[in-house]
Amino acid sequence: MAAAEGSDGGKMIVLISADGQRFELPEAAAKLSQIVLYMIEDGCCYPSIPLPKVDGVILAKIVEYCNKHAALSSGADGSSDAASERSKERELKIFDAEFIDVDVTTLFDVMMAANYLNIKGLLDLACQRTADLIKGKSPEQIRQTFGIKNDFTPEEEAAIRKENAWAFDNI
Amino acid sequence: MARGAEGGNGGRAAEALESDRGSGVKRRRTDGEDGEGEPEEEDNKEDLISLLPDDMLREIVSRLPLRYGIRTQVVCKEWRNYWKERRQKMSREYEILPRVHPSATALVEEMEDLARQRRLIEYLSVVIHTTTVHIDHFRVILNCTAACAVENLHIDLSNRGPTRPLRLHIPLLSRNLARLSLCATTMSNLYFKDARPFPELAAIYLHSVAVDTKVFDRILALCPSLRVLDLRKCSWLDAIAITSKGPNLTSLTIADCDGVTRVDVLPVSSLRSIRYSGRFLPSFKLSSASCTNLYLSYQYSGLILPKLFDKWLENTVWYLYNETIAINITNFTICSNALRVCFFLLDIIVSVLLCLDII
Repeated sequence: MAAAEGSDGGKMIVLISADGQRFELPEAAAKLSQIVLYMIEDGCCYPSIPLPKVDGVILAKIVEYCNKHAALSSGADGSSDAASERSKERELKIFDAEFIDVDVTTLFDVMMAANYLNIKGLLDLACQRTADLIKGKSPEQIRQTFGIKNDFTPEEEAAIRKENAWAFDNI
Repeated sequence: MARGAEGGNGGRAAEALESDRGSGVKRRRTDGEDGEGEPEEEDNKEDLISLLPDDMLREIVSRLPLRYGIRTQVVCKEWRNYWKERRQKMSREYEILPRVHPSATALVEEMEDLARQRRLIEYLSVVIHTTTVHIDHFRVILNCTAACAVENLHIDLSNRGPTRPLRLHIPLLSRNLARLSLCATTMSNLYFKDARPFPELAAIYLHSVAVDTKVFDRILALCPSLRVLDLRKCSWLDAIAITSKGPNLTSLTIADCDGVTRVDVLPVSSLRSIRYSGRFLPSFKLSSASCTNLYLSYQYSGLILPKLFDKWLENTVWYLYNETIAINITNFTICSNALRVCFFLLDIIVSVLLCLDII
C-alpha cells in the first residue's frame, strides 16, 4: 500500500482521520493542502498521514473538494485552450457553490479543517460563504444563526446604532 | 484518480447518513444525558463560533460590504473590536493646509501610489483648506477612490477660499461606495452617459454642494440602494422629485436649500423620516403611509398670502390628511415664524391637526 500507484500512474496518498477512517487520493489532490505538501516533501507521508484533528465526515468532504479541484485545475490533462479553460472554471464554480451549501455546523467544521490543513481555496470559499450568510441579516438574526450571546447593554447597543444610523436602516 | 473520487462520494453519502440519523443522538450518548435536542444544538453552535480563530473571524468580517460590516458591530463586543481594528487599518484621512505638510503635491503623489498598489481603503477623507489644489490634483483623488475601492468617502472643500470651483464627477467614483459625504463641491454633469450604477451606495450627505436638478436626478438614478439622503444648503437645486422607479429612501432631510420650490416624494412609500427646514414650500407632496417621523419647519420673511397658504393646505396637509387612515406618525412637528405672525393661520393649523388626531 505504501507507495501505491493510482490508475493514471500517479502516486496515491493515504490520509487517516481522527476516528481512523482511511482516505486514498492522488498526490496532486493531496498537495492542495500545504501541510500535506510539506509532509510529502519531507518524505514522512508513508505509509499514511494521520490527521488527528479532522473528523472522518469532514475529511470526506475535504477529499471530495481536493479531488475535484486537482482534476479540473489548469493543465491537469494537458489541454489548455481558452474555451475548455472557461468551461472548467464554470464547472468548478458550480461545484464550489453546491459543495459549500451546508448547515452552519458543517460549514464551521470544514472551515476549521481547511485552516488546519492550510487549503487556501477552500478556506476562501468557506469564509465567503459565512460572509454571505451574515450579509443582509440583522444583528439579532446573526446572533441566532451563529448562537452568539449579546454582551452589550441596551444603552451601549443604542449608542453604536446611533453612531452609524445610516447603515442600520432601522433593522 | 477514479478511486479517489469514489472515496469522496462514499464519504459524502456516509456524511448524509450521519446527518440523517442526527448528530444529536451521538452526542447524547457520549454526554450520557437525555436532554432536549434543541438547547444542545444551540450550545454546540456557540462552542463553534468561539472556536474559530481570531484571524478567520477577521477575514470573514472584512469580506462584508461596508453597510453589513458596520451592522456586525452590535452583535457582540468581540465582533465590534474586529470591526474597529479593520477600520483603523483601512482608513486614510488627509487634511491639506497652506504651508503645512502634507502639501497638495505630496497628497497627490500618495494618492497615485495608493492607486497603483490598488490598496483597499474603507474610509477616505480629504479636507482641503488651500487654493493650491487644482483640477488635475482633484482628478487624481477621484481616480484613487475607484482604484482603491473606497467604501466611505468624505470630501470637504469648504475652506478652500474664493477660487474656481472644483468639479466633481460622480460617475468616476468607486463602485464600492456605500456612504458619500461631500461639502462645498460642485457636481459636474459629465460622464453620466452609460455610467454604471453604485449598487451599494446607501447614504448621501451633501452640504453646501452646487448641484442642479438635472444632475441631481441623474445621480439618484445611479443609486438604486439609496436609503438616506441628506441635503443641506445645496444651491442650484430647484426641485426634489423622486419617481416610483427611484430608490427606496427611508430618510430624507432637506435643510436651507433656498432654491428648492417643490418637493415631491409621494411615490416613495418606504420613507420613515422626513425633515424639512427652509423657506416656505407651497408644494410638498409626501406619503405618510410608513412615515413615523415628520418635521416641517418653515422660515418665511413676511406674511404667507392666503392664496399661497391654500395651496399649501391642499398640497401638503391635504395629502397627509388623505393618508391618515393608516397613519403611523409618532413625531409630527410643524413650525414657522410666519405662523406666529398670522394667528388665524395658526387656528387653521390647530384645527387641521385636531382633524389628524395627532395633538
